[in-house]
Amino acid sequence: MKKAIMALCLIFIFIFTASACKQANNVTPDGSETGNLNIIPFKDRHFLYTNWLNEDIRQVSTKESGTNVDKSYPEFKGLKNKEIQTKVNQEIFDTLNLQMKDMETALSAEHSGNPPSLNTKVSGASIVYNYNNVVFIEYYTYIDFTATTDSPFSRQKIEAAGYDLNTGNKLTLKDMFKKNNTYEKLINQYISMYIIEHNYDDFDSAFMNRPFQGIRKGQSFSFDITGLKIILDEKNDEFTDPGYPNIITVPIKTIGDELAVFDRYYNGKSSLFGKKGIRKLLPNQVEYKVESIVRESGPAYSLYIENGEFINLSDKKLKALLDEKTSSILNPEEFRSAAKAYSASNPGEYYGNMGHQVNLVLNAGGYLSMLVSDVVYTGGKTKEYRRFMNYDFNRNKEMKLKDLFAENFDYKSAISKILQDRENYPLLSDADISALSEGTFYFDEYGLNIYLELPQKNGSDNYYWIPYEKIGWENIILYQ
Amino acid sequence: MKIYRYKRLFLSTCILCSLIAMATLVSCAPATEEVVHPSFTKETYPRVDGSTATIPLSQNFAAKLLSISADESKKFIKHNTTHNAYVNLIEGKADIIFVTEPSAEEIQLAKSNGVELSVVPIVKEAFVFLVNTQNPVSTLTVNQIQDIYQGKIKNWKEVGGPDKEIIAYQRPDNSGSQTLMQNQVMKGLKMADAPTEFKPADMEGLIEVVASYDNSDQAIGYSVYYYANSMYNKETIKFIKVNGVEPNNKNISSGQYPFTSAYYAVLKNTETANSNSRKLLAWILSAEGQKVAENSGYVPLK
Repeated sequence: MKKAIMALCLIFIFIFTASACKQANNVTPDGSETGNLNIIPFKDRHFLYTNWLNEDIRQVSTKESGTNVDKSYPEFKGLKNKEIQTKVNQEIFDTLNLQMKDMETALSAEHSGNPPSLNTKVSGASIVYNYNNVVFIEYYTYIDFTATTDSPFSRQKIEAAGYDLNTGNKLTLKDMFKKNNTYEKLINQYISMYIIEHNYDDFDSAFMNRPFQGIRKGQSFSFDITGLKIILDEKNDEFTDPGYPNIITVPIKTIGDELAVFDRYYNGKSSLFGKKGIRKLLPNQVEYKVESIVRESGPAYSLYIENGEFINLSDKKLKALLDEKTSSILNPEEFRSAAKAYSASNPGEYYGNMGHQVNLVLNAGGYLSMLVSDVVYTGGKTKEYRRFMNYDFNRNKEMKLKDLFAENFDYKSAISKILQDRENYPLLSDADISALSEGTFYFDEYGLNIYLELPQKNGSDNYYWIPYEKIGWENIILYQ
Repeated sequence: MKIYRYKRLFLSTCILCSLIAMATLVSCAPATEEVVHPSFTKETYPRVDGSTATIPLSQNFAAKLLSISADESKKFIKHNTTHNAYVNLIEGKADIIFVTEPSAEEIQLAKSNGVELSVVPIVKEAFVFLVNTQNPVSTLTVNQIQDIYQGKIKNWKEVGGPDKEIIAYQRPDNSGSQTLMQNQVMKGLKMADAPTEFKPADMEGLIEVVASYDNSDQAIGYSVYYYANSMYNKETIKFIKVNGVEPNNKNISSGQYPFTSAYYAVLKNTETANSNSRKLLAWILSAEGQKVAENSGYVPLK
């Protein structure tokens, strides 16, 4: 019996301990303590979720002993946990004040014996990243002053802080990356290449006074969807102080696979806010790179032909398709000869111009939308050859207009209604609306531009802007 | 027997005298060092100027001789880049400058101002070529490098590498590194057009600029050893041996590496032997001065 009770006690102790361990592991949603964090590969990550925060901008303009003082900072609302919300808001306010105070103290020390007279003090804080339960705030401080020395007459500084909204804790650089990641090496390597790229390692460089020493302990940094921003401050004294905030951004595409910040603080289940935020599309890996530009401008004619290719695209067939869709169909040699011949027989008269341009309207979230335009203007008339290309990398197919909308959504009726209800625009007839094509449109994160082939109009008059908010975000495939 | 004894006495005396002489010489050596270790205050320290690349060198000299902290020396020493430093020296606004050798323009400027320059090497420098560590090519001859940059050799297989096009990156036209490349390596040979790329410019849209070294497996680029050695990641970037000689402190110091140059102290010839500039120069060339240079990441003369 005693043995049985002992055994039962041991079983209870085991269950209790295991359960406690499990709870400890779930203290933060990331499970980082055990290294079990489930991280989506960056190439498969097309979007983040916006934190559902309302942001009130507080603006204060005063005059302190002859100095104009302008202050602007956000105060956000919407976190369910009011304690954390108050804490972060208070820290934003305090940091802004502290940064200004530090700058004034430093300025005073620099001008010992002859403190400068301050003309303007400007400080501001703004939210630069607000996704997946993390916010990044950038603080900007500027002072201009009158001094008797020959030193510059203004100072600027930028600082930043990131917060985990689960806890209100500040994020360190380490928190941004996967566990045991050699992020310092990665960042240092990127900065070294940046230094070569910008020729900072020249023996007469105006930007560095000695070789790069690597990022420092407690390195200042910020973060947004373009990348990790390394803020070079007084700690990074191998860089010459340019007199303005000096930032090197490590692109998101370079470090995406090493980051844990998108998943560590966001488990997708419980919301810290009253509402689930909408998607924020992340940049695609694929890029369009301009390879050549023919740019000629003279009294008789002008030419601008831009050609390029898609890079970071492993699908060769798709690359060939996209490259073909973006290449120019114009013949600049023929145009140039004709222009010269015209100029010779009609001195002083203008022949015309020719242009080819590729506009990547959206290249994010696994979607590509572009308008390729070839324009020829001669004899007072413009001919425009436009090609629309919309591609869904997620489904690996060209997009028709219907593919932009949720299945079973009557997008044609919705678009017709929006076009016919517009104020201050000439009313479109049903016949006009029937010109709605499945292929003549482009889109971005906020809406779509459709092109209607209307005989009575031409060129840019035929583009119609349809904002998603009028369609309903829930009906747009990008945000499904 | 007597003769033998005298002989022994003579020999012993000779040995003793030699030992005394050696001891005297040895004891003189540190005394010589002490003589060249000048005693400066911030007020008597020569007005220095120079290239950006010699700022750490100059700051560490000042820190050592003035017994000031690194932070203080950073505030005390300011360099205005090579050409401005020459101008300042010639116009009497600087006493000694730490720079690359004078250009024809700077020599002419000195001449037209009636100034004769004393140009003394103080540390060695070298021009190095960079490739990705994955590139199997580890050595190139001077001729091969010149041919690559003239566009005569276009494929890595022509120099023992894989069948891949060589992308020979250059530096911007007005940069110091590009001038060194033209003077030290190409020696009057015409360089092929540099690879270019389009970058956004504020008002002009896309503009064509000299493409920068990207460390791809096809790339070759160049830099000065001081920056390259202390800054670049050796796991991803390697230095090409030239004529089989690796650019390292030993080979640069001995001059065995072909593209070896120097940073120089330049002062007016009229500076007297007792002037503070000459005293500073003598100390820089001493064992102690050279040690400071080496500890600052530069290649000493010997």
